[in-house]
Amino acid sequence: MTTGQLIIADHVVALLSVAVWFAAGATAAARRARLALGLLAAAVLVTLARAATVVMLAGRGWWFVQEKVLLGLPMLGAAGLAAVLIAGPRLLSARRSARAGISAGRAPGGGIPASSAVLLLTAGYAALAGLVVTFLVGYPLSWSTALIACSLVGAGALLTARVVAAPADTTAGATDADDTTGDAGSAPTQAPHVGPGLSRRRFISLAGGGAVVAGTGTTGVGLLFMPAESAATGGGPGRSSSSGPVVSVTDLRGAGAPAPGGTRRQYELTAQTATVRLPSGRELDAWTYNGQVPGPAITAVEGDLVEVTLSNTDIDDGVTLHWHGYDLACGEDGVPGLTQDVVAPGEEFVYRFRADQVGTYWYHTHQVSHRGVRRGLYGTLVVTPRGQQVDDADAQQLDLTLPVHTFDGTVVLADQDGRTDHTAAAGTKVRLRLINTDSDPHRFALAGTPFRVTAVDGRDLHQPGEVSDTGLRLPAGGRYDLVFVMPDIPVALVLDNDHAGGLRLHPDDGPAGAKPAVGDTFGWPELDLLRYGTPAAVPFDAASRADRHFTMVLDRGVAMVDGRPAYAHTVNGLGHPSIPDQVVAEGDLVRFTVVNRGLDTHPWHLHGHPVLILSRNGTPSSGSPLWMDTFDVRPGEVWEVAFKANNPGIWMNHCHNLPHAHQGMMLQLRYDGVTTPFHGSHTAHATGTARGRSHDQ
Amino acid sequence: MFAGLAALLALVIVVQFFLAASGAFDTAPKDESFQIHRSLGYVILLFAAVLTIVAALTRMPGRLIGMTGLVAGLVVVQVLIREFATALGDTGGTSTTAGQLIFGLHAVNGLIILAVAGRVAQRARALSRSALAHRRAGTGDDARVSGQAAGPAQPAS
Repeated sequence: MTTGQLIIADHVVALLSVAVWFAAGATAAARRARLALGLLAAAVLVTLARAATVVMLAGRGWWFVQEKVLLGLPMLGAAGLAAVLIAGPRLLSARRSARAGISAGRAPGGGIPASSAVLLLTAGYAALAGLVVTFLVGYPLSWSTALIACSLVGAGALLTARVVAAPADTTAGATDADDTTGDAGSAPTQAPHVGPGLSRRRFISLAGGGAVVAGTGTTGVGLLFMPAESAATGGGPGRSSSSGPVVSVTDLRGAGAPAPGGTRRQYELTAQTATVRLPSGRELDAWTYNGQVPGPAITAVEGDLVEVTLSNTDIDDGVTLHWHGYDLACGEDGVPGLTQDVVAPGEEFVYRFRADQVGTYWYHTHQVSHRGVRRGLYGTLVVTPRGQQVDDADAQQLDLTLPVHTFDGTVVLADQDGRTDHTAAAGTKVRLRLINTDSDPHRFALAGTPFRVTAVDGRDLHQPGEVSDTGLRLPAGGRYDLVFVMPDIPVALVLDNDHAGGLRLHPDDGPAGAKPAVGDTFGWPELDLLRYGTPAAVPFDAASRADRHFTMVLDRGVAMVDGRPAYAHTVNGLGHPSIPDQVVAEGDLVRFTVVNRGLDTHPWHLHGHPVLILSRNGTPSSGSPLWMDTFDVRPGEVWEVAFKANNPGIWMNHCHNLPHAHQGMMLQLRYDGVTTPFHGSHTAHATGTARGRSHDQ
Repeated sequence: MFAGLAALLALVIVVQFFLAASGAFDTAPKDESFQIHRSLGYVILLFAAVLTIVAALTRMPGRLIGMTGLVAGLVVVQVLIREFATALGDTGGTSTTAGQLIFGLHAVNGLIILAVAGRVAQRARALSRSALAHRRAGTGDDARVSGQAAGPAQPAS
């Protein structure tokens, strides 16, 4: 059983325990002794089952169970035990007397004291509170949460005691008239005269309980307002107070000249709204670079200088260019409010960097990107190695860059919706550069030929083996380079099992209708990149001592996001911008433990650095060294990754499911001594270590 | 007061059905077209939970409190159905058959919620009417008057 499945199973059992405890309480209140007794037994069993799922989940990591072990289960255990020890015997005796009473002509179940129902319902409240804490708060558990939860359960118990102990006799008549089944909670025959309500002793105990509950709750709420940490150091030293020069991100710019032998490549990108007509005839109201979707393909040869002038015609949100996966100087990173001001309509910004890094990358806006990228503000960046053309001049080549994007349910591969056909003579060396520009993963399958995945996220793998009949799951933002030699039969690239779309390669100029043998690609196993290729020397590994270690537990929960409370996507229970910055120093070996407690997939993306994958779910990476800039942390997974802090700046570190990032799952990794003058997207007011707080993802 | 709030709850749930249908036929992306439906869902959950507490504070019959609580519980189930269904089919937005089947329950559960909320509203109305009638017809020497005086919070609004 995967951890993800175990999490779901635990939720189901927890929900069941809430339902059964409530049902036991309700039936006891309705004075159905026999049914209540049966439900009590069921509740005990479900609660034990819950303990079992929690123990199993604990084996997968403390992050998954902390609030359950420290709060949920103890609370439920205490309330449940009280219910069993006190209400249990009473229900038993009520049932016995009911049996005896039936022969004597008395109403069945008449002898259940109201307190039994209160106890059983309280166990229900405890079970519910545990579940609510899991869903709304999660990891880490705070004193505040624990106190508020206990206080609410106590309040529920008191309120129930008040209701059950003093049935609303004024309404009894109406209940009687309306109730056709005759088993109303407040049977009028039970207590026609409650008199002045509560006895003095009862009143005092209720008031005392109320005071305790209110006190606990108030303390809990008060603790919520404790000042939070603004930075995490991951076990390393904090910010240096005075020593060392302070560098602004505006001084961290790319090289001004190409490497020897390289050329200067200039591009003009203009952000504008446009109506884009797809080959199928469908028209998109898109946001584009230069009126096309995807934006202009930016290509370079290793060592070239890339100079891109970005201007904005009419994108009111403003735009930037973020070079996804490209480890350029921080000032070129294109994060509005952090590395530059947003480019508003009528403004422009020039990006300049040397293309020293070979491979498949892409660019996109980083301003309100969950909207901007989705509507079309993206394009591809491909850098080829210098000298390659000379080596392979004699062989025929086909190099296709295939960004996948979904516009309102229409999947577009490169610039085609529907199917793309290409011709390639048998023997042609084919490279397919797959880029996922969406916020959800895509599944690719290549039918008709064995192939190699030669690069992941632009970085070459070491001795990747040939595979066939294998599916590829491409994380949001990720890239795979597939390489194969064209066979003499057609080849099909199937996207998300849609056999009508995707890409077809035909070996000759014959009729394009020749069908490739595409079988059932759906059932193909998924390629596990952690076991693909062969190991090679790496600068550091899992055994290396990390200078900093940050743990990020991803989940959903109630948190402040941009100053507003929301049911957010959270990191360690917090949402942007309240998540503490991760502080590192240049030269540090930094390790991340990324844990997904939730039910959503989170493609984790650190700007400016590739991370080396060390392990997933405790299983070390055993294939080729795997460097990624976007790795999918699926529900229940735990990833250990590491990187060398060798690119000073202030970098975004976020989930590349862009709506998730917008809903809070985003933080900053900052190098000690680096500052930004940008204060968010609308002001450029500079002060010391100003933080770009209001910039949007 | 309770009867009015209960009727409002039922009404809001009807609106929720309307939003679900209009979201389903909207051409905008799923996330956007169901945004209001989702927000209102959480509003309904909060509303039902508050209404349960109101019912308890105003000394409604236990059965009515329980049913109001049941509405809140079923709304939680609505959220869970959605979460589980999307968790089952997370690849490329194409949901799996299992995910779709589970998601179908979202509609069935919605109907149950509407039925329970409707019943709560109906009963609350009957209660407040009879209590009102009772008060009007009360002659002062009725045994129930003492009870009525004891309850500080009247169900009638």
